[in-house]
Amino acid sequence: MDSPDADAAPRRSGFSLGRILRDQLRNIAPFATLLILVGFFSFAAPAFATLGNLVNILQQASVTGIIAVGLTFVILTAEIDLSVGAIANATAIVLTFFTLQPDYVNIANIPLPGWLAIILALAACFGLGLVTAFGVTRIGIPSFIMTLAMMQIGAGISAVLVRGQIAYSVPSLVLTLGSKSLFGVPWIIIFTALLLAVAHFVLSYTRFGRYVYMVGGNREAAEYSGVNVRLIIGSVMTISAVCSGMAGMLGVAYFGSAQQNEFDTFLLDAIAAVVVGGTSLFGGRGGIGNTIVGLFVLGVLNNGLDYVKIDSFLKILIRGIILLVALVINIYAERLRATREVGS
Amino acid sequence: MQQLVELARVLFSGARIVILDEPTSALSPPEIARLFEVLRRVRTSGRSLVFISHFLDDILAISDEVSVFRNGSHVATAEVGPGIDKSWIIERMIGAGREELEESYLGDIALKSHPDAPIVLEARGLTLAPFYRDLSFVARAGEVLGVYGFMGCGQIELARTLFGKLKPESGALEMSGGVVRLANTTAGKRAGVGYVAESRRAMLFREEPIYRNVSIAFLEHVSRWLLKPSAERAQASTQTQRLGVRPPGVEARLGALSGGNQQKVALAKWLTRAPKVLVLAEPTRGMDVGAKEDVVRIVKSLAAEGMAVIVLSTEPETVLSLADRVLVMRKGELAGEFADCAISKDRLLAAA
Repeated sequence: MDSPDADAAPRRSGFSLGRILRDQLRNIAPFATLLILVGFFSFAAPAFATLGNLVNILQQASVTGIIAVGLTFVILTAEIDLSVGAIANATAIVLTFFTLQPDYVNIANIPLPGWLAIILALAACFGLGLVTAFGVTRIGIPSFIMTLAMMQIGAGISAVLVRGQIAYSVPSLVLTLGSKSLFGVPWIIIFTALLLAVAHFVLSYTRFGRYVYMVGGNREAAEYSGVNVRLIIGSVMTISAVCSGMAGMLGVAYFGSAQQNEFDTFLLDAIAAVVVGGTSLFGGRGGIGNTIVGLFVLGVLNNGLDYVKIDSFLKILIRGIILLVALVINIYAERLRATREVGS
Repeated sequence: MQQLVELARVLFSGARIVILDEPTSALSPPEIARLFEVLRRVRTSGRSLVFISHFLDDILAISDEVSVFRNGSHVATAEVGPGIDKSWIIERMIGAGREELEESYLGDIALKSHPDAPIVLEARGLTLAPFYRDLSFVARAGEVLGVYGFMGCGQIELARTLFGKLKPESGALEMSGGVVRLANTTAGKRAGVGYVAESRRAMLFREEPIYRNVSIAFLEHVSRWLLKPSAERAQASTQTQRLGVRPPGVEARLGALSGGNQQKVALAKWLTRAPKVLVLAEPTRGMDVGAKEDVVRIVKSLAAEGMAVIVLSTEPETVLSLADRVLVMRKGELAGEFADCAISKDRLLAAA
């Protein structure tokens, strides 16, 4: 029970290193992981710690990074989007479907001017995002289930349009952004970096960003403060779909071809990047800064394992273990916070 | 009912010491009487009960020995008997005697309504089965309208309807002369309604600094696109100072504040863009006497500025200490109204 005396005395215990560590576990753990990995691979393989390889790592992490931007918004509101890979794939295939393909690609496609193909592809991912948003906010389907369905729908669109074939051509703008360089820096890295910067700006300095955090922090309280929670949730689901779509388009240019199931592994990678980075699965904590660290951890891990001689099948297991550890830390950080709440 | 089942499960689990934390807050007087009967039987069977409550009457009715805690430390323990009464407990809770509080709980209070003040909100035949049926009432500018009823009588659902969280099946809500249909809470806020929910958890962001807890309700007026943290802080600071939130300062995490001060923050968020109607569900639940007095003072001053305040509560004390006019709800229907007459706790309870 409260008393007036309790109100007068601020409840502040002294700063201690342990306390700071505990409070910041969510931010420190991913960074420490990154440092350890970089240290280990630099020691184990001299060719790892070179500027050229840094560009490699960044380039390899870019497609995941673009998807992870959208997922960061979604996870900050305590929702999830499992359709990112499928929507990336569908958008990529819509793009190639409306682009003139070489003669040997045997699909009944509709060649259109490049800019129109890009607009149609963006419209496709935007539309799929709106469907997800509608299902989650209006019908009330949990995002986990709704995006599972959208995953199938995305895969279905890909299958129908490409019919088991492989498409190669994309509009020149996409080709440039996905596979060309500017003064030695691949455009895809520049694009990803810009997108991360914009997302960070939106989340940290705009009203919308504040609402995203507040909805994630306490959805009920946000609603009882007059925040349009459905609008925010719907927006983040749509943002995620559009980010996935852009990742799909640039990914096709980066990989050089578009086919079914091309982006399947990106779902896990993107979720892993966000969560390994320390953004809370319960919403409201974390952000783009965390996602960037998470992307580096995954990028360094994927790349570094190629430098040390290691069974390529073992790589999958190691990634799984890293993800598991990150999840444990994520939940543990949440629990530490919760116990402190009770204690205070 | 749920509460009773819960209690039954614990009481008959065979535990030798049973700790009950606010067991009566959700029960009606006859249910409480029945619970006490059971508790006395449990006691005679040789088991120990620890009864934690802020309902002093309940404590005095059931306990053999009473201990008072204040500010996390033990203040006093005494055997219940002559001389150990409500005022004795209250004295120890707040550290001083407060005869007038005792009066306001049990004696007659004269209600004086504001019949000439303009009507700000009018409900006509509001119905949302199974929660409430055919509710018609008005709220006037400058008055505190109390709505009293037992837990589950539909008042919480009514409060949520007034803010746009729930949609009535039939009936109309009029505000400032026009019928309003509130599609969601954003529409409710835009129509000029403020809402403080019955639980702090539903109102506040523990992890966020105080100023964000306050500014969330009027952020759209501070910034269209880009946040203006200094303006947010300034406005939040003005309101928290006005309500006497302690410690001062708006940077601290909300969770670091005591419960009473958190409740004040929940109120503070509605003061920058003063709503026409402020709906308060259980505004003083779980607060100690001193913090309750603060809230009463704040709410009365808001009404004096012309706001229509609707206070919904299951605690007679809350309604009695705040309201200028009292509506009583029973099982989803309006069962009575007290205006311009004397009212007391027993008459209020009798009407519900």
